[in-house]
Amino acid sequence: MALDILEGWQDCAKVLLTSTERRAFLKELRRPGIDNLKRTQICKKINEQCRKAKICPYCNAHNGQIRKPAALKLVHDKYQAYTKSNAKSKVEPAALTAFRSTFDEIKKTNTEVDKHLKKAMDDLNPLRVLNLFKMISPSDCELLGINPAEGRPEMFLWQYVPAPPVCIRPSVAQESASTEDDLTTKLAEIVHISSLIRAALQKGQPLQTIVEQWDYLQLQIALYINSDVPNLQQVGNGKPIRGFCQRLKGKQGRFRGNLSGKRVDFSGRTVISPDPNLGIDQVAIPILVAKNLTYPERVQDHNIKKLRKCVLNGSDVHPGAQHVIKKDKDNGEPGDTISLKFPQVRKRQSQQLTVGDVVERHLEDGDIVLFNRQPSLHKLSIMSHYVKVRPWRTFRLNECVCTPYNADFDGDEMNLHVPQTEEARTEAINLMGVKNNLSTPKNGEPIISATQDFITAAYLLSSKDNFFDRKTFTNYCMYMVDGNEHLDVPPPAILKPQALWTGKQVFSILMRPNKQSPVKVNLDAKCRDYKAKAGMCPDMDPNDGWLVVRNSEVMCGRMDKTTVGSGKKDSIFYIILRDFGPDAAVIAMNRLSKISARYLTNEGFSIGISDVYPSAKLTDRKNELVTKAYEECDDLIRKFKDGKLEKATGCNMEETLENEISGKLSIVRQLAGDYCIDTLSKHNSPLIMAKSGSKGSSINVAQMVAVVGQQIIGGQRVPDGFQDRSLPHFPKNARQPLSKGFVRNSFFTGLTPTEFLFHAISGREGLVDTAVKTAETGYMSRRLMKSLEDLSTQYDDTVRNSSGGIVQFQFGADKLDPVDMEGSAVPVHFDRTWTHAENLTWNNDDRCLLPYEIKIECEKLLANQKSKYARKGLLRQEPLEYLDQSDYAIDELESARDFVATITKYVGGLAEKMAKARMRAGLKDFVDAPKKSNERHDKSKEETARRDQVERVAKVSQATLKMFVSLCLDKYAKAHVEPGHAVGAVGAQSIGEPGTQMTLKTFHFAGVAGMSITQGVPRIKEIINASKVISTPVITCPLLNRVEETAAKVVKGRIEKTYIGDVLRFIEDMWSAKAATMCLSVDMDLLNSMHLGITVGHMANAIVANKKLKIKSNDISLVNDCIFVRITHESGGNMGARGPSSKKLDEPGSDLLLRVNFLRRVLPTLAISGYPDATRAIIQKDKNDEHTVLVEGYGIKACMTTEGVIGTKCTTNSVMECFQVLGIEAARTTIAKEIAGVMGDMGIDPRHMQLLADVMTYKGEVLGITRFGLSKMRDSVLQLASFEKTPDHLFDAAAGMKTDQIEGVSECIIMGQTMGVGTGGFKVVQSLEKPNQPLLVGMKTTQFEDAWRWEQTERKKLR
Amino acid sequence: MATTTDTQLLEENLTITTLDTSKYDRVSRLGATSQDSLTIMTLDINHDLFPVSIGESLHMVLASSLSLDGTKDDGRGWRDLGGEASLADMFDYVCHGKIYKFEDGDGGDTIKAYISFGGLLMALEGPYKKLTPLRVDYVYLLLKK
Repeated sequence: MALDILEGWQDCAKVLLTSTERRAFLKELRRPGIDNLKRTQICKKINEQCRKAKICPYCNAHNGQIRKPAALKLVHDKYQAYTKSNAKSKVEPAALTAFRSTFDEIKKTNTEVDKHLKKAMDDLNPLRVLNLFKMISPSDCELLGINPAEGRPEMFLWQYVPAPPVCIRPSVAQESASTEDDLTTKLAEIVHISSLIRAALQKGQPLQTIVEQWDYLQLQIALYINSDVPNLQQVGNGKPIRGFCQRLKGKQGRFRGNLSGKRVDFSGRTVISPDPNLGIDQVAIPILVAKNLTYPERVQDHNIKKLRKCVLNGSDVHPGAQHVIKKDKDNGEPGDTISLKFPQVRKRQSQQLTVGDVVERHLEDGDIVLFNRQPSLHKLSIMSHYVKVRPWRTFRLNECVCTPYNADFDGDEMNLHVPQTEEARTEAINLMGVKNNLSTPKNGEPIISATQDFITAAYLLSSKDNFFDRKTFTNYCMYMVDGNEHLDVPPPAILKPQALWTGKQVFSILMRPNKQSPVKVNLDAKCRDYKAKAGMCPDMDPNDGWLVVRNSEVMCGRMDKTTVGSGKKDSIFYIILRDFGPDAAVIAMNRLSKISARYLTNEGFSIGISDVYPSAKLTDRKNELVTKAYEECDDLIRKFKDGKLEKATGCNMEETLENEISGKLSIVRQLAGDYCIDTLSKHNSPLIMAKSGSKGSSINVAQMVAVVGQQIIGGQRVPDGFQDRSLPHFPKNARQPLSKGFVRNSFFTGLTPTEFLFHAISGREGLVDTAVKTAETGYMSRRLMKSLEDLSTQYDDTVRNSSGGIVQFQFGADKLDPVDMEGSAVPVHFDRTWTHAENLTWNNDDRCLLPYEIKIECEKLLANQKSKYARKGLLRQEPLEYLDQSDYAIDELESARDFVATITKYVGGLAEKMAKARMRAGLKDFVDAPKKSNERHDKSKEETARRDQVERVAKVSQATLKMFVSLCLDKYAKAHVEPGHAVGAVGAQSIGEPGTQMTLKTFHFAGVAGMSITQGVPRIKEIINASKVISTPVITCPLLNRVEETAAKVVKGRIEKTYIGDVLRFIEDMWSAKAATMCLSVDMDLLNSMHLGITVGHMANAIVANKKLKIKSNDISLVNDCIFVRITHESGGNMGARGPSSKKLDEPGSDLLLRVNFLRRVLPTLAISGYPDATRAIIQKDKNDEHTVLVEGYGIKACMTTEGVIGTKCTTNSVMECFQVLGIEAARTTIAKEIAGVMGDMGIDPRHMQLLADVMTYKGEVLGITRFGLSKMRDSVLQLASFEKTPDHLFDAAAGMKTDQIEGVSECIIMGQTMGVGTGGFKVVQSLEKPNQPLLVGMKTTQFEDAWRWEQTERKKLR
Repeated sequence: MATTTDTQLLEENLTITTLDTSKYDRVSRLGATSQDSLTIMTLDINHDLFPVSIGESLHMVLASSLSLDGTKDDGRGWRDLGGEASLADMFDYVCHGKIYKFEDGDGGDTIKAYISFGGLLMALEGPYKKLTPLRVDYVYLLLKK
C-alpha cells in the first residue's frame, strides 16, 4: 500500500530486462563491499530502464505506465505506447483489440460506455498485485533491492491487519465513560466493515455493494497507517485521527520528540536572577530545589561522617538525603533502596550506614550541575557550574555569564540538570565548565566577560579623576578579594603633599594583588572611542583612550567595553586567560564583579529626568538645525515639482528626491546628537553608559535629549498608507519631512500623535522582523547541524564523518582550533606577545643585540623546530630543500613551516627597526654580520649616550628573544585541534548562531547604480541549499587593462547583448506587386565604435540563424551598409499573427502586410552579439580609478573567454555554475568565499566556513544542506528519519531491508549509545594474539597473589 | 639645592606654557618647556593639591630614590616616608611612578620618555644626552614652583 509502485512488471512477473542487462545489473549488485548508497543508485537505474521497456522480453506482453487515478487505485496503462504515438504507421496491437472486444457485450446495452472506451485500463487491484508479487523470482527480488530471503515483495502487502497491544493504544478512563485511542476506534471500524463484507458475501449481495465496501475497507486501513494519505478528499469531519505515521512524524513525533530528545529526571527549571557576589562558575540553587535534586554519593571513609548526618536529616532538612541504597548483596543482587521520607528510619539508617552504600543526598555546595537556557543555539548555551545552595526561589548567576546564554532577568527561566555519576561530572566540568568556555569557538573571542554595570563601574573607577587615601584605597582592595588574599599595597601615586592612590591602581591590584601572583598582564590596546591623532603618541590621548598595562600595572587608559567587556581580543580578561590560564581570568572577573557592585552601591549610579533635560542652547541649536533642514527639503521638493532636480545616477526622479531628503534629515540628527553629546556634563549617567559601552549608544542619548529623528520602515521613509499620503492629517502628495515620519521632538519633549504613530510603526516592523527571522534561522541551524553533526577530527589529523569518509585531510588546512586563535584567524598576536616577553624578561643590565645578531639568534632558536619539519620526498623519503615549493615537495607540514616563517619575519622586522634606530643615531646599522675584523662592533668607539638612545627605543635582548620564540611556539602547539573534537557540530553552531543576529537586508554595490546583491539570511540559504537559480548572480571579470575606461567599455559591450535596433539608422519597406523588401540601414560608425568585431554580414547571419523568423538565406542581400530582406508569399513562415484565428486569414495582401509589420517589430529586438544568459554588464570603478566589469547573470564560461578579460581570475557568485564550468574545487572555494562574504562582519573563523564548503563538496558534486543532499552524504536510516520525512525513510528502509551501523551521532542518541566523537572518539584495542603466546582471553593471572602463592609453594618445598 | 647624586636622574627648570583643566575635575594637563626650550614636558597633575597657572616656572627633578644619601630605597617602601629627612622635604609635590616607554623624537637627536604615575601621565621630549639616564624603571617625580 504505502509501497512505491513496482514498475517494470508484466503478467509473467519478470523484470523487464533482457537477460544480458539482467546479468550485468545482478553482477553489479552482488559485488562485495558495496554500500547502501550505491545499491539504491543501481536500483534506481534498473527501475528507469524497466520503465522504458515497452514489451516484455519474456512473454511479449505490453508495458505502459502505472498510474494512480485515485488515492488507493492503481491502474496499468498497458498500451500507452500505442495510444500516445502519433505515428501514422502505428498498428493496433492484437492484445488491445482483444481487450477492447471484451467491452462489446456491454456496449450493446449501454451506449454511454463507448465514449469512455479509450480510457479503459487494466485495474491492478490488491489481489492481482499480490498474486503477481508471489510469482517474482528470488533473483528478480535482488534487482528490486529486496532481500528475497528476509522480505519477499508479497510480505509488504498486508494480508492480515496487525493490532498493537493495548499499551500502545491505552484507553483513558473518565468518570463515567472511557475514551478510546484513535487506533482502537480505527481498528473497531475495520473489524466492523470486515464483518459487513463477510455478511454480504454470505448473503450474496450485488457485486457493486461488495466492491464499494471493499474499497472502503481499503481506505480505512490506509487511514489506520497514515491518516493524511495524499490525494484523498476526505470530508472534513472534525480532527483527523492519529495514524501510525502521525505518531512518528514531526517535532512532537516519536523520532524527534521521544527518541532524539527525552524527558529526564534530576532536572529543574525556574526563574533566574542576578547575583554579582557569586563566582562566574557558580550557580545559586534554592534550598527547595536542592532538596529535590539528589546526587548518589558512595559512602567512603572520608565522607561517612557527612553522609551519616545527611541521612539523619532526612529528606526535608537541607543537607539531607532522599534515599539510601545499600551495597550489593553477597549473591550479586542489588542492594535495597530505603526511602528517608519517614523520620523513623533515619536514625537507624544513619547508624547502619557502611562503606559501599550509596546515599542519594541533596545537592550541596560544590556539586556539579549543567545549566541551560533555550534556544540552545551553540555549545555555550549549556555549561557546567558549581552549586551554591542559597535561600529563596530563583536560580542565580553572575551577570558575566549572561552573554553565552543570551539571558536577561526580565522573567527568563533556565534549566538545570544534575549529572549522576563521577564520570559524567568529570566530563561536564572539564569540557562544559564555565572556566573552560570563556571564549567562543566561533573565533576565540572572549564571550564571558564584564557586562553592563560592571563596565560602568570599571569606567568610573578607572577615571584619572579618582584619588583615594589609604583608608579608601585599601577598603576598595578588600572589596574585591575575599579577605583571605595577601595584598601588597603599591606605593601611592602621589606622595606629597598627601599620600594618594589612583583609581587605576585599583585595577593593578585587581590583576595582581601581591608580588607572589604570577599574573603579569602586558597589553597595549585602544579603548572604545579612541581616535588616532597624527603626531601624538596614543598614550597621551586627552580622553585617556589608549590602554597600556605593564606587568599588571595600568599605565594609562580608561576601562570600557573593549578592555573589560566581551567580544574583543584586547580585553584584559582575555589576556589573562591566554597568558595565565582560565583560573586567573575567572578570579580577576570575580574581583571585578564584586568591586563593581560595591563601588556602585557606595557611589550611586542612577538616571533621572535631569539627565535628559536639554539646555536652552541645545534646544535653540536643534530648532535652528531642524528649521534649516526643513527649508532645504522644501527647496528640494519645489525643484522636484518643477522638474529641475538633478537626477542621481541610476535613480529616477522620485528616488533622487527621497535620497536627498533622507540624507539631509539624517545629518540633522547626527549634528544635533553630536552637539548634545558634546555639551552634556561628564557626570551625565546616560552619557557615561554610552561612552563606556555598557548600555545604549550616543544615538539613544541624543534621541532622549535632542531629536528622535527619521523613522524608517522597510528601508524607506514612512509609506503612504492612505491615498497619496501617509496619514489624513497631511495634505495629499506631501513629501515634507513631517508627513513622512520625521520626528522632530525628543523623547523628553514628547511626541505628537502622528510622530508617535510613525515611531510605533517603525518599532512594530522591528518586532515582526525578529519573529520572522527566528523561525527561518532556526530551521537553517537545524539543517546545518544535521549535516555536520558527526564530523570530528581523528588521531591522524583528518576530519571524517562517522562512517569514515574523509572530509578534510587537516582541519582548516592547518590543524588549528579557532577557539585558540589569538589574532584574527592566526594563533599568535606577535606584537602583544613581543611586548609581553619584553616586560617579563626586562633587565636594564642586559646587553642589547645588534641587528645581525638578532637574526642569527632567532635562527638558532628555531633550528630545533625547523628540524622537525625537514622536507622529505613523498616517494623515496629523500631529503629535500627546506624551502622547496615544487609540487613533488609539498607535504602536510606546510602550515607549520609557514608559521615558523612568520616568526622569522616578525623578528626580522625588529632587527630592521633596530638598524633604522642605529642609523638615525648616527651609528653603523650592522644589518649584516661584519666580514672584516676591523668592522666588528666595538663598544668603546661608540658614544655611550648614543648607544643608550638606541637601546631605549629598540632594545632586543637575548632573554627577550628566547622568551618570545618559546611563547610563540607554545601557543602554536596549544592551538592544535584535539583528536575527537566535534569540529562539525561546532562549525554548524558557529555559522547558525550568528545567523540569528543577521538582518534581512540587501547590500548595494558602492558607486554602481542599481546593482544589488542578495545578502543576509536569504543569501546564506541560497548557498547552503546549493540552488541552481540564485536571485542575484554576478560574474566579476577583472580586466587586462584596468586603467583605460574604453577598454572596460569594449568588454562590457561584448558581454552585454546588442540588438539590431541599437545599431540601426532606420528600417524601410518597399513594396512591389507580389513582394515586399525591407531595408535595414546600419549605422556603421556606431557599429565600429562599439568594437564588437561584427560586420553587416554577421548581422545577416544572425537574422537567418533565428529559426522562428523563418527567413531564408537567399532572401537576404547585402548592399554596403544595408541589409535587404525580401518578403514574398513563399517565404512564408509565421506571419506574425497570434492565435489560431489568424490561420483563417487567406487574403495574400494582408498576409504580406502582416508579416512585414511583424518583422518590423521583431527584427530590431534580435540580439547580434552578447551572451544569452548575461542580463547586463556594469563597469565598476574603484578608488584607484581601476575598472572591473561586473556581469549580472550567468555564463562565466563565455565571460572568461572574452577578449580583454583575465579569464583565470574571473569569479562568479553562483556556486552551481562554478561547479559546472570550473569543477568541484572551484565550487568549494566559491562556497567558502561567498559565505565569508555574507557573514564577514560576524567575525566567524574562516575554518568553519571552509569545513561547511568541504562538507558540501567532498562527495565530488555540490550537495545542498537539505534532505536530498543529506541522503547522499550518509546512509543512515535513523539519521534521515530523525531529520525529515520520517515515515518515507522508514518504509524505504523496510522495503530495502536496510541495516544501520549506528555510528553517527543521531543514531547513537536514538539508541542510547556512546557516540564516536569527543570523549567517545577513541577505542582501546588490544591484540588477542601475540606470536608465541597463548591467547590473551580468559581469566588473567593476578600479579601479587599468584606470586605470593608461588613463593609459598617454593618455601614449602624448601622446608 | 641639594648636591646632584646619582639617584637624581634629571633636573630641569621649566615654564608652564599650556594648561588644560577642562577634561577632569581634579586633574589638569600642563605643558611646559625648559629655559633652553629643548626639553618639552607634558604632565598630568592633581591641581587640588598643586595648583598651577600658565607662566609659572617649575623646578622638576626625576629621582630613583628619595633618600638623600643616594641609597636605593628598594624594599623600604612608602610607609617609612615620615620622620627622616628625604629629598621630598624640599619639594611641594611628589609622585611615584614608572618610566615605561621610550620613543624616537622627531629628529635623530631627541627621544621621548613616557612615565605614568598611577595613570597621571608625563611625557618628556628632550635631547638624548639629557634623557638617557632614564631607563625603564620606577621613578620619583619632584616638583616645586
